[in-house]
Amino acid sequence: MAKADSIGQLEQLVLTAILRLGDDAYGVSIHSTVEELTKPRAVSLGAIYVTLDRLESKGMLTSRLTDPTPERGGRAKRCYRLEALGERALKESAVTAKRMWDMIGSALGGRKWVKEY
Amino acid sequence: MPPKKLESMVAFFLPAAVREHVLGDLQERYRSPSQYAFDGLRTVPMVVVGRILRTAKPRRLALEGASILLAYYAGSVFGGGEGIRVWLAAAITLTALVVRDAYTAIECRVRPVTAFEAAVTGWLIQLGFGILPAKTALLGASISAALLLMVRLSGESRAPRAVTGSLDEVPERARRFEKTVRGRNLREYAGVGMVLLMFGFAASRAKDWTQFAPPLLMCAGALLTGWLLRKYGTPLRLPPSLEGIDLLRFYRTEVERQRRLLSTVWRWYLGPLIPGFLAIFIGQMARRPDWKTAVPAFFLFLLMTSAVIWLNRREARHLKREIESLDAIERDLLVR
Repeated sequence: MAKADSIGQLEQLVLTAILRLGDDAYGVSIHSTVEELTKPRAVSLGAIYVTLDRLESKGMLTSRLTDPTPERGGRAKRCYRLEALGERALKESAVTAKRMWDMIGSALGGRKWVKEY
Repeated sequence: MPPKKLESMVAFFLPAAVREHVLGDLQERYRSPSQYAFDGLRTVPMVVVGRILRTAKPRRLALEGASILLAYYAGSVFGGGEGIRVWLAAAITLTALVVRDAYTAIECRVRPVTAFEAAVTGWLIQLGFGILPAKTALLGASISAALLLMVRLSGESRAPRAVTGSLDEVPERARRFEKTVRGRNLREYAGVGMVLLMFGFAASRAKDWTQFAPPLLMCAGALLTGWLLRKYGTPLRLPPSLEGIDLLRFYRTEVERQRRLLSTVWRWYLGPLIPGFLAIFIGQMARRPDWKTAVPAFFLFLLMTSAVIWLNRREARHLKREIESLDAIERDLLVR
C-alpha cells in the first residue's frame, strides 16, 4: 500500500470540509465550511483553490464539473470527491492530532481551556 | 448579477482550466460590484499561482530553462550581448512559458505550441526593453522555440505504458509503437535538417579555416547522427499477415531494438556532435577569449548533454517495462 503524503493544516481542513459536504463539495461550500472550522480566522477563497489544486495533483481528490445552474449565471460547479489516499492522509492527521491532544490533556489537565474542550 | 464589464475583466485574467467554475463561485458570492471586484482581486492571483504549481514540473522546467539559456548563448555568439543580459532574456522567456502554460494547460497537459508562443513573447519583451541586440534576440528566440518544441514533443512521444495486458491488445500496442517511433525519427531528421541549415549558413560565411571547421564538423556530426538513426532506429513495418504469438515476438524484438538504441544515446546521438561543439568552443576562445561566457556555456552544454542522456534512459526504462509486460503475456499463454 502506498504511503500517504503528510498534509498541512489547510489541507487537513479542506479534506475535512469535503468529507462533511459529501456530494455538494465545491469551491464556495468548501470555503464556508473551512471558515466555520477556523473561526475567527478568515481564509481566502483563493487559498482554498490553491489547496484543492494541490490535493488533486497529489491524488487525494478527484473533481468533476456539474451541470450549469441559473443562480451561477449558467456556469458549472467543480465538485470534489475524497479519494482513498486523501482519506488515509486525513485519518493519519486525525490520529496524530488525537495523540497530541491526549498528551496536552495529561500534561495540562488542570487548565481551564483544556477542561473546556 | 455582477456587472458584465467587471465579470469579463475577471474572466480575462483567469486561466482557461478554472474559468468556468471560479466565475460561477464568484457570482454565487456576489453582493455588490465593489465586493465582487475585491473578491476577484484576492482570488485571481492565488488561482494563477495554483495553476503554475500544478503545471510547472521541476524536472521539465529545469530542462526547458537550460534549453532557453543555451539558445540565447548560441544567439549571443553570433549576434553579441553580455552574460547577465543573456540570463535575463532567458529568464523572461522561461517566465512567459510558465505563465502561458498555467493559462492554457488543460488539466496538467501542457501544449507543445506554448513553446513557440513563449519564445515570441520573450522576444517581444526583449525588443521592447532593448535587453539584447536585435540579432541576438531573434536568434535566441528562434533557437529556443525549436529546442523547447523538441523537448515538449519528446516528452509527448512516450512508449505505451501498459504493464499488463492480453494478447488481444498487442496488435494495437505494436501499431501505436511503430507510429510513435516513426514520428520521433521524423522529428530527429527535421532537427538534423535544421542543424545543417544553421551551421551550413555559418560555414558559408566563414572567412578562414578556423571559422569554417567548427560548423563543418557540426554538419558532419548531424549527418552521421541522422545516418545512424536511419540505420539502427528505423522501425520495421508490421507484417499484416502476422498474428498471435508471432506478432507478440515481432513486437518484442522491435521494442528491445529501440530500448538498446535509447540506452546508448551518448554513442550514436551525442558522440558525433561533440567534436563540432568542442571546435566551436575552442574557435570562439581562440578568437575572443571570454571566460565569463565560456565557462557557463560549457557547463550548460554538459547539463544539456546529461539531460538528453537522462531522458533517453528514462524512455529505455519504460520500454523495459513494456518488454516485461510482453514476456508476462507470453508466459501466460504458454502455461495455458
